[in-house]
Amino acid sequence: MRRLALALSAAVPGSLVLASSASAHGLAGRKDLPIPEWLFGWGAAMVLVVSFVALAVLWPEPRLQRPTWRPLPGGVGRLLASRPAEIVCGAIGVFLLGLVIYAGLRGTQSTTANFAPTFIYVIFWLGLVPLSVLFGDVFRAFNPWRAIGRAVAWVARTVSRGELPAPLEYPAWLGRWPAAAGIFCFATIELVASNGDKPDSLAVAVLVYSAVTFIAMALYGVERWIERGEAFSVYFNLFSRMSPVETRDRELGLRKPLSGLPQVGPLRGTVGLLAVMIGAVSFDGFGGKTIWNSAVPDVSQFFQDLGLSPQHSLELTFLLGLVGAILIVAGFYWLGVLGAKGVGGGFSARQLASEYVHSLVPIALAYVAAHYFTLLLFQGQAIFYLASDPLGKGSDLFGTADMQIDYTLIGASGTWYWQVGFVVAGHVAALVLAHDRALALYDDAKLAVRSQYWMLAVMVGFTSLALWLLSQGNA
Amino acid sequence: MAFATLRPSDENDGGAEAPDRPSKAALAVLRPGTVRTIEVQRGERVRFVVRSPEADEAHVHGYDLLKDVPAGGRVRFSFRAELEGEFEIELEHSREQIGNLVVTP
Repeated sequence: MRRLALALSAAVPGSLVLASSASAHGLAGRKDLPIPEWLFGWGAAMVLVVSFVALAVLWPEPRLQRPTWRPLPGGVGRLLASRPAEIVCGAIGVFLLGLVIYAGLRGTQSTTANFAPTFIYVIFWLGLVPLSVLFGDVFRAFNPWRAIGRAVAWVARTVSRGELPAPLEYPAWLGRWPAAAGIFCFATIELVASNGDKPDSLAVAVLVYSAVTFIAMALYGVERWIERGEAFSVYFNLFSRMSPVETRDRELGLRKPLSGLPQVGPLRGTVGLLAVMIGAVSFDGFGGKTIWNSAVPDVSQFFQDLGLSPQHSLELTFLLGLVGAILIVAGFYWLGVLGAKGVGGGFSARQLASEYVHSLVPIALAYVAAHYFTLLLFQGQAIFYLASDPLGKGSDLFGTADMQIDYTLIGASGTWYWQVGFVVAGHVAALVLAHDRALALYDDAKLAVRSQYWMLAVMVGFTSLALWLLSQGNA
Repeated sequence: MAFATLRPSDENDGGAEAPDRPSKAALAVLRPGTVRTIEVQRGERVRFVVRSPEADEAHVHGYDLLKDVPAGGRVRFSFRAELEGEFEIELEHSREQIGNLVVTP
């Protein structure tokens, strides 16, 4: 966004200067340095070694397919998932939704001084990812749309003194496609739209999304839409399936880490959703780099020659880049699936694609973590002063308005080790999941191993791409 | 893209306007229209000059240093690079990036 604005100012004829911001938004005050070559080499070598060691030492019988779950001791689990707790969390979510919309519309239009952009792009979009992985489906509790939808349904039931008409049957072909489309729209606003960092545009986008969500909930039922269609619910729920914490029947309990993922279910659109997730981060990583930036002016000029305005030409160029990245990710996964189909066993490609897709979730997590963790760590601190002055008009509600971001928390080399660590850890988790699924899928152990080679190749590919993106210089 | 590599030097900043000076401490001049990269190691001194045809405010992100630039004039920055990473140098009012500060470990 900011990158695009910069590219735009540079696209004025006569100037060859290019966008140079590699940050996701006009929010980052500090960008990561590319990882050095030697670390790239070590990272890549580690990935290969880990992969082959894993094949040799991983268990011979499936272990993650049947979930284990024990309630938290002492009734704590019941308290945390009780109805009063649910109502309090939902109310907090609704309050924050209202605050974002209000601040976006009424506050200052400076991206960094308004509460809305930092809250949406950093606290919500990035902050909920580690929370989901550690503590389970946190967003489900705070989800303002779910809270409002349920409250409205409750009121309607009470007033009409009976059951509401049954919602429409959710079509099987729709699957998780609405969520994939929603995340794609979010990524487009974040990475492509030139006004995507403007507080008022963001507030309008939130309003439009809320309206769409409420209509869909009215049609298909609140819980069904939350489970399959509401983009952020589905997105954070995928990550929460890696967590050892799970809620069942109003009670919090513990399970094996990762064991929630094999139960993702063969819904249509899941591969599409994962491709959007990984593709969008890849594009954001790639979009700030020298290679991309040297291609932008030519492509954008091509569209200008077709009669588009400079701004629209640039936006179209970035949109093509985003779509291209998503298609490459999806295509690569399908290649692996076709290879795995080739080893025999009588599975269709579509079947295999949906059987293995959950193993992409840790890879998606690794991409997000490696790419954005310093943005969350540093820009996340901004929420302390923004909370005191959400409109950016000089208020100081909590006495924190003068706080500043502490950029000394972690240095460049510390950042590199964390980034490579995330990528390698994600790779290992993905391997474990694919291995376990292969064992469950094939009766013949030989076939299981051979189909796994293909999935292994897919994962090494994604992981190498992640490392390569980290090693590329900012333009 | 213009690259201006700054290295620490004992020399004074005098004669900043002469980029072709035979000195090892060619002082980078940042102005709207280009984005220059200034690369230093952590702990070194960062020195550069910002020029602008219009009155503006130069801002080094992360370090959060702000200095006014008079119309048609210049302002000089000199500070120790203590934070690692890549930081934008921007003219605040026109919201234009004019430099990139890269501090390596």
